[in-house]
Amino acid sequence: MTGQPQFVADVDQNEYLPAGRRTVDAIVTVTASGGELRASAPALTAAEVIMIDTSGSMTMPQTKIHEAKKATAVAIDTLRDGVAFAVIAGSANARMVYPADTRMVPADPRTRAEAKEAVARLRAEGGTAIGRWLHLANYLFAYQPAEVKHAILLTDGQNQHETPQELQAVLDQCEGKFTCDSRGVGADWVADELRKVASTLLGTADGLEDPAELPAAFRAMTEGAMGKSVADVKLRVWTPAGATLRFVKQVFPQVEDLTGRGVDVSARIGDYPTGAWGAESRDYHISVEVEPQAVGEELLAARVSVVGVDGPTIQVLTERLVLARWTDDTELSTRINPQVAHYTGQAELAAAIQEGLKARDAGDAETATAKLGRAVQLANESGHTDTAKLLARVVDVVDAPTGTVRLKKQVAGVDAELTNVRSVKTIRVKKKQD
Amino acid sequence: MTDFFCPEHGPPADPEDRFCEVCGRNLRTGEAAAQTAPPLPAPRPSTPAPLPWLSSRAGDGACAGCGARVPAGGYCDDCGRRRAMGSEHAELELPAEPTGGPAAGAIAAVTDKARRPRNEDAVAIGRHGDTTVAIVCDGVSTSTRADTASHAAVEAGMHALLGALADGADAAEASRRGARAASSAARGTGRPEDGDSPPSCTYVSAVVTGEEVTVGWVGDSRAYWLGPQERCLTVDDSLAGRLAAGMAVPPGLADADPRSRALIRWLGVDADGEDPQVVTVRPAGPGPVVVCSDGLHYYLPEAADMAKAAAALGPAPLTVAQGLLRYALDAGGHDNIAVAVLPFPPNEIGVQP
Ligand SMILES: [Zn+2]
Ligand SMILES: [Zn+2]
Repeated sequence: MTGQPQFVADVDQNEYLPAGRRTVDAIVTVTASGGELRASAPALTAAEVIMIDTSGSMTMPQTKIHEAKKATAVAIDTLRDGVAFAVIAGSANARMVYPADTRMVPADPRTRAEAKEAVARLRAEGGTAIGRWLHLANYLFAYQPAEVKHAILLTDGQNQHETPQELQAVLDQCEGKFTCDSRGVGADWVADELRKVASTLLGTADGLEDPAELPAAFRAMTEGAMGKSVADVKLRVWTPAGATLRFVKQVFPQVEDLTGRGVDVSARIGDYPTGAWGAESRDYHISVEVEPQAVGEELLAARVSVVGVDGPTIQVLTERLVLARWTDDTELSTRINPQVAHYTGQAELAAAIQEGLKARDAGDAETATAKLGRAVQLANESGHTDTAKLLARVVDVVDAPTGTVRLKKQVAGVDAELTNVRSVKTIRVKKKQD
Repeated sequence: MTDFFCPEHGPPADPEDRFCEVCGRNLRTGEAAAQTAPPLPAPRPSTPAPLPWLSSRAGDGACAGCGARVPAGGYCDDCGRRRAMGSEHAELELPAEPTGGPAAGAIAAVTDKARRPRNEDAVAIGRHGDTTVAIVCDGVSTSTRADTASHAAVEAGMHALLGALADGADAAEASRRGARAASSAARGTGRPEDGDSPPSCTYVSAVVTGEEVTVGWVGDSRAYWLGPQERCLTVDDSLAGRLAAGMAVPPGLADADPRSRALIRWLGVDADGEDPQVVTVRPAGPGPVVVCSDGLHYYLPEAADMAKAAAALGPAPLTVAQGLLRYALDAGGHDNIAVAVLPFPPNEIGVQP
């Protein structure tokens, strides 16, 4: 890594535990600041692959394929000069749109114009096999030395022409090779599939209600990729002997459980992938179970570092300590940390929505009502109005504070998918005014 | 060159600085400062020779949990337990220097964790020429990692106080400079995650010359003159202490309990940052000066009792310090104890009046 990107981490926790208590929770906020990043770090080299769904359903209505082409053109225009790029048309197979052969070309006025012409000629026909598209993208990226490798995936339908196992196998191959933001358009995309892609490839997933939103969304995703100034950042967590790391979750801007993604650096240290960073701020919830100590004793429950990886070079960008102190002062030990409570609620909210919708699809109205009711209650408590509004599309809210709801008889498929795909989006706790 | 900055505290005030002034990180290599020692101010060019002083800080040692080697004040890299900054028990002595010209007699200090789990008291002794100095800091037990504040303060205070004497400052001015350096060092031990109980400590220094005894303090650690007309030289920074000394009620404390011994001044992130109180006395004859934390003066609050106890122990300063420590332990030892003994005048062989 060149330059000195400025990362700052903060820990929010109640380090005081009552006698015998083992669990230590902390929220670690990591912020990469923009001014410093841009002033001192040269732009990273980047490669961008755009995967556009050209299955037959993209013509129903015609505005979908029309807006998708327009959006792809906007994304192409947003690429910096010199950024390697390619456009893939996805159906039951994947095929190169631009360039014609299986490679990537640097963006310049001529290649941008040629690419937009090729995109304009696209016709929609055939089925959907997302794994094949990702496989081709992975192949293209493999020959690129770029520091930031980013893909955009647009689909309007269910992944019908391959099995979930086939998709999983491709995702496993792609993991760690590039990041991918996925978007669904129309009424038939499946939230679970897009979330799985986003999760594995450290990107975002969302649905667009109106194809007319596509150009702006493509521009935002491309700009985001162009704005990354640190390519490969990991959260490094040290825990003491005898401790168990219960979980490591990203909890803002979206819930992402990283626990199973750790790579052991040593017996005490694991590295968790966080992908590329621009000027942004993310929150992580770390929960450790430690050996309880005598009252008055202090223990380092975790040491959390943000490390930049550049080939063999590892740079510690910032570091914070998560502590545990045992006390018999109940005033101290019963103090609930508002951040920990808030994100525990946000994670429960995401899970309640996903489980509720799943039960609803399976015809289990009782579980669905209970879970979605709890979700309405949590969204209401935390002031998460976006999620509350989405939930109101799938349930009739009788009383939000108690979570009393009735399942709606008629729900547009896309409403359920939107609610699902956005279930992981969180809000930050409002800072207390002194 | 402004390329170098601390990832946590930003660019240094002076772009030429090699270390972050807050955490001591090496700005060229990015290496964090060792967790044990807060960065001391660089020695001034006017004080080339290292000044002789000792502190009660513990060295590297075995982790109480797993036996791994851990620096004092650091966290065990294996089991996560923190090793205290202070020695559980320490005895410090600067022996007499029988040189030509003005010779300084021996001074000594002892400290013990007593019945507390760790020692948050810190003590340092030192001298410049024939002037002797002792500083005691008592970590505030309700604050986080109080031992880091007390040790940082005692060492930065000693370093600055001796430096000021070497620069020609008088004892009162040197006492103020020592307390200011101690104050910023204690402040530097705070961390963003400490919340409303950052590390904090008391501070008391005594400077003994051939003519005078000068004490400076913040908090309720004390200095006693135990020669002719013995007396406590400090006034506790508590409401009860101020009122007992016939001082006015400090602003904002009009409604507080007049018997309150709670500290109204201390060193640390949340301290007032004001100068210490400084008092200078000219003793009529030889005798000992005792500087101590409340682990001792809780059991011997009256100067007359302290003087009687000390007289029975003399003459060697170390013997007196050990004896006073033993007295406090035998009386209950409810709190950490730190006690330093300095003969007046400094070239006296012992402390017997
Ligand atoms: Zn620093
Ligand atoms: Zn250990």
